[in-house]
Amino acid sequence: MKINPINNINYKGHQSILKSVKRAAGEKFAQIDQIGEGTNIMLDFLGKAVVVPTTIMLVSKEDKEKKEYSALKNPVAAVMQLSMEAPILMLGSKFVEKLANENKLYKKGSRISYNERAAKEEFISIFNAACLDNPTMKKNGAELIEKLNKKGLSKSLKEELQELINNYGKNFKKPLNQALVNFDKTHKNLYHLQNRVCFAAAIILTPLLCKAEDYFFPKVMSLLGKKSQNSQKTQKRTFLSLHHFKTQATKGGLK
Amino acid sequence: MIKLVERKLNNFANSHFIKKHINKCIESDKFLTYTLLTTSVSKDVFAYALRVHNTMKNDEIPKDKKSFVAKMDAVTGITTAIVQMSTSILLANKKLQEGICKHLFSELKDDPKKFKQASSGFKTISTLVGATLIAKRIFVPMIASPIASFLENKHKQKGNLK
Repeated sequence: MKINPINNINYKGHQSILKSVKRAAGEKFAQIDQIGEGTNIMLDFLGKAVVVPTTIMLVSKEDKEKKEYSALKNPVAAVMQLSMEAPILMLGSKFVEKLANENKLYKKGSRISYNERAAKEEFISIFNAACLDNPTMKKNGAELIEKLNKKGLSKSLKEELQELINNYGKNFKKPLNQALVNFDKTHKNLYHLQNRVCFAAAIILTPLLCKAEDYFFPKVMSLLGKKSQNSQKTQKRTFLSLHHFKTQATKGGLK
Repeated sequence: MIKLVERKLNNFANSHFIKKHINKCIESDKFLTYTLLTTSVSKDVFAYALRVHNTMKNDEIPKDKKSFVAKMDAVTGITTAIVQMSTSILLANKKLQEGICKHLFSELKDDPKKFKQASSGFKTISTLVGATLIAKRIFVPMIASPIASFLENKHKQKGNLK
């Protein structure tokens, strides 16, 4: 009987783990979709809340107290910034979507369309007609349509729908593919418009946001400062009582 | 008021510039990445410019300190913009990205479509992370701090001379 050396087994194991990790990473990166202002806001938040404090704690040569204050300052500012920027993005996007779906962003003669609801309805109506023609499509597509209604169109869902159409679309293959492409294009048009509008809104509101930050930030910091002072006092008290206990103990125990 | 906003938004959404811009964002990931970086940098630069303006107008800050504080903000703002943009240009380099993706997504080589999609996603994310997380939050303070101390020393020397 031949026994593989342990190192060889480990090496093969590592290789297969690495391969599967690489494949999974590749699949994840291939599915990346909808990169916009939200990504920017999240990265900015992570930078301020995690990267800056970590860098300060690791690199800064200031004394511990100053270092801790500087490290704490940034996450507080990050949370405040996020709490102001995220609502602008969310509410602004909703507002633009509402206008687009009510056809209020339509201009006669314009080639670009933002009405995602209309594009989706057009696709679903052709899809339903195709399902009447082909029951297999209805059976296989029900889950995808449910997903579409719940979560909206995504890169992976578009690929799944395309595969379904190409396999079972029959006579409806061409109009269905056309409607799907149109739906996807409208979805992206609206998404990028929402991002640009929210960016413009954030720029316009910057003076207000700065003022709000200047007003709230010192208050939050002084509140946190008071809390940390209180906790330091408590720590001191514990230390004193321990010290007291020790002294008493060396003198023959507490009475 | 809402009618006015609606009309303005309609004009904005159907303007030649926005239509062209949106089409480019959909067609090219590189363009989308640079757009996002530009929006991020411009928000920072605008905020710093506003701070400089507010400092200059703030009468509570003593006159001799005013220009120093304003200079500091201006230096940080300019450094942020330059460092972020240059990092993103460096990270988006075609040869560098191709080299990393070839190594990172070697398991997807049998599926060229997926490999291309993964490479494109990686390029966008790595450029944004590099510029917004690493350059802005680590490199900028490292560069801006010596400039700040240099300016501070110069300011102190001037004060001593006077």
